[in-house]
Amino acid sequence: MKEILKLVDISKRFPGNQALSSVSVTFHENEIHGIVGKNGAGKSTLMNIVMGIIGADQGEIVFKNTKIENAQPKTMIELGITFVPQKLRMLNTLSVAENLFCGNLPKNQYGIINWNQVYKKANKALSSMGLDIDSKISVQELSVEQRTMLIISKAVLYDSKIIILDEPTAVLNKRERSLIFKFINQQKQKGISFIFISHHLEEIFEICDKVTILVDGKSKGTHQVSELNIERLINLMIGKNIGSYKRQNYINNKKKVLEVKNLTRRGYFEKINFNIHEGEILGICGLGSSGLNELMQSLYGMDRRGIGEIKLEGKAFKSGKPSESMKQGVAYLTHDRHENGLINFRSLAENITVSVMNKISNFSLISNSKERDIAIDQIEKLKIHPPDFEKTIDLFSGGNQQKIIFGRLSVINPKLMLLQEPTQGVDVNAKNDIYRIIENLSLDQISILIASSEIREMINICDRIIVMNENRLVEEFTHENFSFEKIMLSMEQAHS
Amino acid sequence: MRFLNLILNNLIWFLVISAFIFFSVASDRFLNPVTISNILISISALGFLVLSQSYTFITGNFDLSVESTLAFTAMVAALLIISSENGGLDIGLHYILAILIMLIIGIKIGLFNGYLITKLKVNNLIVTIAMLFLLRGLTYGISPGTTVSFFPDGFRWLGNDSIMKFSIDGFRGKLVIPVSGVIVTLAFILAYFHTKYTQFGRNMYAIGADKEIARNNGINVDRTVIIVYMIAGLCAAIAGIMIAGRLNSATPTMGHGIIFTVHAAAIIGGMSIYGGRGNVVGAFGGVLLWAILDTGLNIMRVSPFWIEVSRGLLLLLAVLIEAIRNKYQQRILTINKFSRSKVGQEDQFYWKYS
Amino acid sequence: MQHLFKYFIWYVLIATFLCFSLLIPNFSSPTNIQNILIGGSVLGIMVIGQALCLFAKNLDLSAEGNVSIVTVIAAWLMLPAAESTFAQAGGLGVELAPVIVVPIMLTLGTLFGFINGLLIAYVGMNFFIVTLAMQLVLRGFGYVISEGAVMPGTPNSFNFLGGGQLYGIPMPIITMIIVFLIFHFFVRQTTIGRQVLFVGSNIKTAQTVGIDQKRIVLFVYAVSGFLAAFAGWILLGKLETSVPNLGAELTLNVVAAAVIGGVSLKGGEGSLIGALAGVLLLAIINNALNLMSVDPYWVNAVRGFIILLALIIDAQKQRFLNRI
Repeated sequence: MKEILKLVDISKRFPGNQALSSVSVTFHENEIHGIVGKNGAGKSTLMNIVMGIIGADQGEIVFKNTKIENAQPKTMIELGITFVPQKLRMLNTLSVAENLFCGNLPKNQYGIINWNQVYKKANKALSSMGLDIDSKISVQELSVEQRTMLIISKAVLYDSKIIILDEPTAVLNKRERSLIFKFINQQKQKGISFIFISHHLEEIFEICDKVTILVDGKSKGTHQVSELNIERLINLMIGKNIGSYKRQNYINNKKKVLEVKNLTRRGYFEKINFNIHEGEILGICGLGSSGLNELMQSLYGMDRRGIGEIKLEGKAFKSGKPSESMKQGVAYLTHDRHENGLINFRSLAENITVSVMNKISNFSLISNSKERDIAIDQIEKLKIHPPDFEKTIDLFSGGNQQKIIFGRLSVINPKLMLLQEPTQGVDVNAKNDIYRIIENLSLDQISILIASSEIREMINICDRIIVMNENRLVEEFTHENFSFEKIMLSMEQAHS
Repeated sequence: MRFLNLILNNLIWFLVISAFIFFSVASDRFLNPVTISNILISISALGFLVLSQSYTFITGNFDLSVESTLAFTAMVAALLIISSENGGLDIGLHYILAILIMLIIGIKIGLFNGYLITKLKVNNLIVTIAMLFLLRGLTYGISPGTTVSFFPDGFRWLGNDSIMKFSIDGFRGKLVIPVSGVIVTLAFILAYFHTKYTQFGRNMYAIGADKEIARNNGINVDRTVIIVYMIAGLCAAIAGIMIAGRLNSATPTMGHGIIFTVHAAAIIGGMSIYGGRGNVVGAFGGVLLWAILDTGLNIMRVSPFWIEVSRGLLLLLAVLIEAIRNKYQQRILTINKFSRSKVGQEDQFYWKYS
Repeated sequence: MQHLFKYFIWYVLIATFLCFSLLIPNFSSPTNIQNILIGGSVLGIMVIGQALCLFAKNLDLSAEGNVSIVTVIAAWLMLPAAESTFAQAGGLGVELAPVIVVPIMLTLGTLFGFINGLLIAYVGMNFFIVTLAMQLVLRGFGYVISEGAVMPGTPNSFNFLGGGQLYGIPMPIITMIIVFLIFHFFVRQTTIGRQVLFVGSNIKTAQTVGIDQKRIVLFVYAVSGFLAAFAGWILLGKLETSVPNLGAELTLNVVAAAVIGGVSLKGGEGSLIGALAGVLLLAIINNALNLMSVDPYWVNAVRGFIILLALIIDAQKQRFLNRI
């Protein structure tokens, strides 16, 4: 097999973070090359460098034996490298055919578009790709897997040599996944190489020929998938870049705070049953496709609940909106801080007190001193740095932004906190701080539910861990018998 | 269900036809040659303005300045052509040259708008508001303060002449086919062809749908948007020729406030301010509807002020229907998405909420 | 450098003022400053409503229609019935006292804004088109009621707010300052005022933290309607005559002033004081062009040009800031 793209000793440093340190990978024609690694391992940085979106500090990119100097997005696209992002972007108001031929529609000799030809050609192209889609319909009517396949088809039709797939299966179920895999395998036969990024290790074994493991910005080598098994892969992925914080005391309180019975929502999760006790830290591990995100948002009342029963301290908890949930003592930390966690352009104090405006105001007139007191109190408790309550939140580091949001949650005095990926996009020291904060909260008798894919860190902090896989809760571990490998296997493997 | 969809997707034509039928039944003076001629006249200038707006709408932009472009170009032409005793500058330029100058000015104004919006990245809404003021002010500034009247016949051909007149048995009055009505219809046909069958037209839709993707597919976004604004300016200048020709004069207040009507007609015809949607045929339907309502209500002796109100209400109705349609389509999408899902099938009324 | 950009509008304002003071004798005389402020008062009140809408990532195009209809209704209710002539009309004949008419005006204005908000927030209709349509409807009703004619001679007690003086200071200035201070305080110091900014800044976060964003949108439109009616009161008092096309182009001026003053169309950014500065800039320019006896017809052109210039500079500032 011929080499097509070679990355040699790539390093990249961001302020306060060595994202990649001399990573070398070689991609060949006709292969599907998996890249695995946890969040923050450097996968997206590496791909951004390949696409020319950011430049590497060191190292070189070699495409078909020619060194690429000063790679720009345009040059990389022209070389035939296509990036398929997780959130697919298409011309949503237009037809499949037009998406396929955007910018270059088939025309007759007078330069006039012949729509019959357009649809015919599009249908032909699609069926040559093994796709059965009517090119006349709007892309909005396509399902996610059809859209993914359409984008791949387009890349293939336009002579792409390398197609990078960023977690293409994150929101798909098994049947849809196997459709995409079958499709990718067909395209591979045409001499196209795929770079496949996934959290789902089972998928690597299902589809990839080779796999490169990234841990904390370093490569742990490229392996033939046939020579690996999932346990070995999991072993290779364990890194050091996790919070080393270790839980001090475990809780032994049997007072139930939250009871969830048979919670079922069409398309996302079914028959969810679990309890949380007072002051307990319960972890739920699951991949993006497991329905975990939707479960958390449904519990908070941001999204539809579906059917089933939820009880908070013995009473039915039927909140349909966030303000109601907070009133009843449930707080929520989102996994996407930038999208729906921060109130941009506003000060630290405003961000902390946003949910407790009634506490800082009399007859809806805000008292600056009360606001300041609450903010300063949280700054001290959470060690937010710099301790400037008037500073705009956008100017804080990721770790401190996350602490500020923790401050927002704790000032409402909740009984239960729902945390999604509490340490995402945060450096190691801040991670330890955040876990200390979480444990302190639990000592205040606040029950905490953490949804995360950082198993190592969950093991260090949780009382119990339950695993969600394929829209169901599948296994429960207590802190006496936590095991990274077992939890990961349970998360990744198919349960029948 | 399918019938409902058919109506929702061709709403404008149902409105046009029902308005036409309504007035034919409600007033015995509606269905006759004179009225039809009036409708054909009143679609002309409005039609060109709606066309200019449709082009910018397709690419997801605005051009509020067209009503001032119209007045400005018409005033320039009037000053150049007309003698001093009627308010002109006594230059006595040939009307064909004057028309050419008008068109060029219109295009240049569009070029300027487009340049500011694409290259200097100024917000399109506010830029064209500023241009609206600027050009209206310039029009006042260069005008002698009075109406400039009496154009040569050649200039008035487009706005005031007719291609043919004939009488129909059983009706009094003649059916007049005005030049302007024919030209505007031709312009819409041409525009339909341009937006549907040329690469440039489809690029406009792609830009309106998603600028980034369009750029990644090798479309020169800035150039396309600038040209679209130039076309908008050109259409405004043509509307200027038509109105000036019909009134036989140019005033600084020409077309003042018409931009709201223009937007309303375009939107009710299915154009969307979000870009990438709608087509100029629908927009033409919007223009027709406006003209029919205008003429019909006039004939029924409804006060022109009530006509204004009814237009606003109609626009509200159109947006309401669009909002309902969106909700309905959203529901269909939800059902499609989850009906096949094997997860949580006990949850049966999943589509009722989200 | 950043400081310069942040207070850019103030530098421009001061520079323009100094420039005109040097060029035009008597420009900086107290009487003329008074004139400038009177000229900006109506705009200054309306810009507050518009800024609130912009803060919440919305836009109210119906404000001028609102001004038009409430002034017509007010005159119609207050004036005695008279024979309609071509250009002039009488009122309804009920001759209500201003004490009753003013609350009616303000309630109606608020109601129209409320309807806007209802359709936008709760029915899910597009704000641009809803307020555009509302503008057509309201102005149309104004014409229907007045039959397109002017209604002169509103009672003195009604005119006090627009034309009167208190301790030698014209009422419009006092009113504008009071209204401004109230809303300045409101935005900075009340919970709802803050929530308006939060909704515009990041609507998803606002929902996550439990802010009822629909209520906020409803609220800003209601306030915008109220302030438009209030501005209508001043305007009618100043002219003492109701003109159905009163307030034409006010909306576009108001939006332009707010944007020049640093209120972002993308929501959540800017301040009321900045918007007020935008209004003052427009008022200064109007006044100076007047004093220089520039043909009033040119005033619009110059104003458009200056707005354009401000926008270009603003856009370049954004690009510059993005680079550093």
